[in-house]
Amino acid sequence: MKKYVAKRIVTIIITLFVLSLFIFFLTHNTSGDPASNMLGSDATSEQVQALRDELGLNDSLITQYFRWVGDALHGELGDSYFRQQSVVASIKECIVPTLELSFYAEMLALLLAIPGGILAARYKGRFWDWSVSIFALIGLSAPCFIYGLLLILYFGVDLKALPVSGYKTFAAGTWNHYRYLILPAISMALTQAPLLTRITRSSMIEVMNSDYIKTAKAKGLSGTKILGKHAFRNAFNTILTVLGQSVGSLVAGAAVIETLFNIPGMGQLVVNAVLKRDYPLIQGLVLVISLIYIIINFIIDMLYGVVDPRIRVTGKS
Amino acid sequence: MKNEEKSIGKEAIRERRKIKIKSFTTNKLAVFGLILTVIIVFLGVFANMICPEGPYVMDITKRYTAPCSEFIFGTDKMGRDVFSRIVYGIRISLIVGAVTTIVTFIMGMILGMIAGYFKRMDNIIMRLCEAIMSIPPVLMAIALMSAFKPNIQSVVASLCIVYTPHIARVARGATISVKEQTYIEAARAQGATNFRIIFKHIAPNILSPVIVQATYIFATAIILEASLSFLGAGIPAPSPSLGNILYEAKEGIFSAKWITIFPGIAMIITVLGINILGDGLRDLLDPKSN
Amino acid sequence: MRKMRKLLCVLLTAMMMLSLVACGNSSSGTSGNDNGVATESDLLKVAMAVNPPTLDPWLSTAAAVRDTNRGIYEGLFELDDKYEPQPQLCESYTVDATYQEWVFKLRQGVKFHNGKEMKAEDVVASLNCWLENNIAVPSVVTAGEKFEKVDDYTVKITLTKPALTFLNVLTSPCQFAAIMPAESVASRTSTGVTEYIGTGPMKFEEWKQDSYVRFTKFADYSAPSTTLSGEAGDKTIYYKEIYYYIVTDSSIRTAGIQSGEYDIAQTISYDDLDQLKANSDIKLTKNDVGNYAVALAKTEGPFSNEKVRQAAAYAVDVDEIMAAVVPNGDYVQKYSSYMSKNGSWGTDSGAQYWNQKDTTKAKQLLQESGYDGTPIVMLSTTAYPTWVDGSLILKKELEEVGFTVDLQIYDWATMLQMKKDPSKFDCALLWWPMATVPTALKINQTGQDGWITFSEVTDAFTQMNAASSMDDAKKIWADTNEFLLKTASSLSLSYFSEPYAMSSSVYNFNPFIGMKIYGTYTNK
Repeated sequence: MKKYVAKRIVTIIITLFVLSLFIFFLTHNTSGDPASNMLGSDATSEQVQALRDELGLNDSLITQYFRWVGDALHGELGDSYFRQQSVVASIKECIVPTLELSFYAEMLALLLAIPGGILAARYKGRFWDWSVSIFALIGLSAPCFIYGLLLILYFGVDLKALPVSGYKTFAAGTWNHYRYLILPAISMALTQAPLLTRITRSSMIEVMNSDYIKTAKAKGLSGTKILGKHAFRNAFNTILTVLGQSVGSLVAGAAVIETLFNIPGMGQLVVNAVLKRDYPLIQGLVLVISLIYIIINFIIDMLYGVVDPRIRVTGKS
Repeated sequence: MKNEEKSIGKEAIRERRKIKIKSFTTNKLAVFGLILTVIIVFLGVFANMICPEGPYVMDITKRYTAPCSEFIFGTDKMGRDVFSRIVYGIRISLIVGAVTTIVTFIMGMILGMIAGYFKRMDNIIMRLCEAIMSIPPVLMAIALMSAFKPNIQSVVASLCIVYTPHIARVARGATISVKEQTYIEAARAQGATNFRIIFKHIAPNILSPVIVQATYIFATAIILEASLSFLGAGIPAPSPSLGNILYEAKEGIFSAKWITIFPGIAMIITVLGINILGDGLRDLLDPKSN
Repeated sequence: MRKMRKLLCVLLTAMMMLSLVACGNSSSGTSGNDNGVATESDLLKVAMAVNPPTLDPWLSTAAAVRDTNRGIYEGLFELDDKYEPQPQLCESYTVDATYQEWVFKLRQGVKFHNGKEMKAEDVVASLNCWLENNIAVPSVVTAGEKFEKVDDYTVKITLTKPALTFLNVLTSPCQFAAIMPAESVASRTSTGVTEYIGTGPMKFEEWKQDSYVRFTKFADYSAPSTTLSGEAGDKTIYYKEIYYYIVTDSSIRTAGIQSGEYDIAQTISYDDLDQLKANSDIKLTKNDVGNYAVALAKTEGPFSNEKVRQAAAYAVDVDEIMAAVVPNGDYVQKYSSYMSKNGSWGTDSGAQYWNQKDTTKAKQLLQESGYDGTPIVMLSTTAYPTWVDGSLILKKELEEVGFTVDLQIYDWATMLQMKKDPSKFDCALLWWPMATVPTALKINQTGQDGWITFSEVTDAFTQMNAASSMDDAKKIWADTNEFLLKTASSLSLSYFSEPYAMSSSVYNFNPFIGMKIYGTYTNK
């Protein structure tokens, strides 16, 4: 086990190194440049060059890369060009709304997915299974901004019931906080729920076909009881795993929804950073998001390893 | 002796496939998906016969005309017929989806097999794949698009870079398990070159799991392109794709709801058909599903 | 019967709204149940359209910067609503007969937000920094000339060239000549000032990146004795706290103003106007933005040939393009002048070269020019969807007379870089922000939007600055305007304005070259 963990950590370090190279050269190869973006459309090229000099953008790419990696190894990700604050401070500030939004979306998705999935599994091949499956498929088949736009039209404009843009912290009142996040959370949940529904359904079916459930059935336990007591508990492990992974994708998937609803989270931060060519911010953000993803996957793999020793031997990657 | 065994195996596989195809046709949902997809593909392929004027004809005096007999889905802000834009949009979205799927399939197969077969290459290829996969697809695609010239080829290239690692990973896993099989050993003993072993013996045997993975990519590529367009980094105007029609529709969402509603429905139907068909295909190919 | 009444109601409201729009630019008193007395309220929420790249007054020429930070700072002079400079922080000034020695007497007792009194060294530090950064400055000031302190309340600058339009340049709205404490100037870095301290009525509190900028009322604001006109005069505000939310999506701004989320929304989409006009909770007003034009790269490529440019000018149908970019005719001011007719520099000379829609003439000119079918690279950006719309029409019109056009659409950062490099593009449809004096126009600066330095224009600018009176200067400018149109140096389209929306309880909101909330108050 120890050997396996050590091996995994080495591969993670190599992956991070490759990643840093990849991000750095990708960001620095984009067209457009931060200096002329900062100075506006009428700045002369001399002014732009002067600012590029001051920002260190005229040094060779190799020098710039090692400067960045060297700083990153000390936990120093540099300062954003546009945000008058450090990259780390920007991330600290922006990760809160994203985590909140992702959490609410995931909770809503679970609220839809688990009953839906169980219902479909319980009545496999019958009406409920069909309706749940079709809803899940439709949900899967549209990008989340379509739902976002429709929700804005109905709840924001027609009913004037909910705000359509912005974000409030708890400091502005609990209800106020939730009011602003309801619509974006629902739009995200609607695309997140179908996947969870399908996984709940299939893992429930798998468990229900297993021998011990068949025994329980033979003993004469009622269908509902089996579902509630045995099947769900066993299927939940699978669901948890998927949930863990999807939290990662949710944080990133928030980019579109955060842009649409104007929520100052990580997603919007990255999109804006790319649009403005805020190199330190793009690099730092992608590095941190990827690191989170890698760590979550590492932990999940380790948990698998603890639960099922066979995986360790075959070396699942 | 060996040949005999092999042919018996092939018989059995053929038999099993027959049963599966039968179950596919009895699977009503899969057939429904097939029909939807056929309709959508028909619209895409024969777009220039269905709408001979094309999607670019502008008449600024007719901007935002509500659906009527002349424009059954209304017109957009440039006075262009929304119906033709949707039909051509379907064509472009399908091209993006299809080309991405095919290219990622080929690239992923090759990279995966090389990584799985040659131990030395494994580390290099898989670390790069992991690095790419650890960046969320939307962000990755936006970053790539800001480095490329904005056109349809770049969008496809970005999507391919995003999705190839997913295929490569599956192909590599399958290659590793196939590599140890006796017939590969036998081929090697007979002096077959690595190249021949990879393409003649390994490739056909890892197809199913890779195709299963590839079926997901078609639909997700179309959705990712739409998200990219929504953030202004997708297929550039004036070419219509389902994604950028919706992006432009956003500007007029209060006064011209039809530009959101019709392309939205077209988008959902297109991806829905492909998703259902994909589910059916997976049932057919995935040994675990039986 | 009831239906009839409802209809009547709707009609009446619509008429009221229309009349509001019509008198949107007049100075005060917008609606019936307002008693005309400004009362102070707690909070004002404004939805801004563009995210400013910085709040430093001099770093960027972006209009979003001016919109956001102009409440913080004031200048020695500010523009009144006729675009004429009026003293603001300045008490009086003198100038010699050749417009070379300018002496400014400062108002006394003006306090900065940090409590310090504004004195000559602050003005000198601020204005010298402005001299180095403002792109219109070189038209009147020779490099090396600086402001000097005479005594605590007097500053002066001596110029080697006559500069009749010096005050106009001093009040140019972008990169404006803000006055801040000398310490703020000293601690300024390559990415701008590190603290936002001015003398304006709005005190900067917090800038939550990409989200909002928060201001509070500056209690010690010392107003000049003149009443508010444009940017000049008494800028007292009537809110304790002001939020400028950054809402870049226009549909969200429209939804937000309707749901009561915002009190004021900047830049409403023209297509949302009908819907807002039907809403009795909302009033609309106009803001003058600038002029749409097609920039032509004149140093290289097909448009370096004057005949090719003229062919393009004859091919263009301004009405069709403007119908696409500004679909509501109420917001278009169709004329060829490079300067706005709101001010006194507007002119009609050269109008005979504009909007001729003569395709035969265009084809003939194109033939004579020897244009060989080289594709014209037309640049546009996703950041401004209307530019793309206009470009599509322009492309169609140019192709009709025989041009080959390659439309390339980039994001803003890329377009910014490309339009500075004439080898990367041939033309781009865009708009230029309002200039208040011709010398502040970019038309004579090589490298900006395809412009080159014309000796004719350089000479005209020199003559204008040395003219004996403003009227003479304006005559010289009228000839230059004609020269620019005749040589098709760029394709001038039209001046335009954009709708701003406010809640019906908001009064005396009159945007002026962008967002401005002085004197605005809420009366519920």
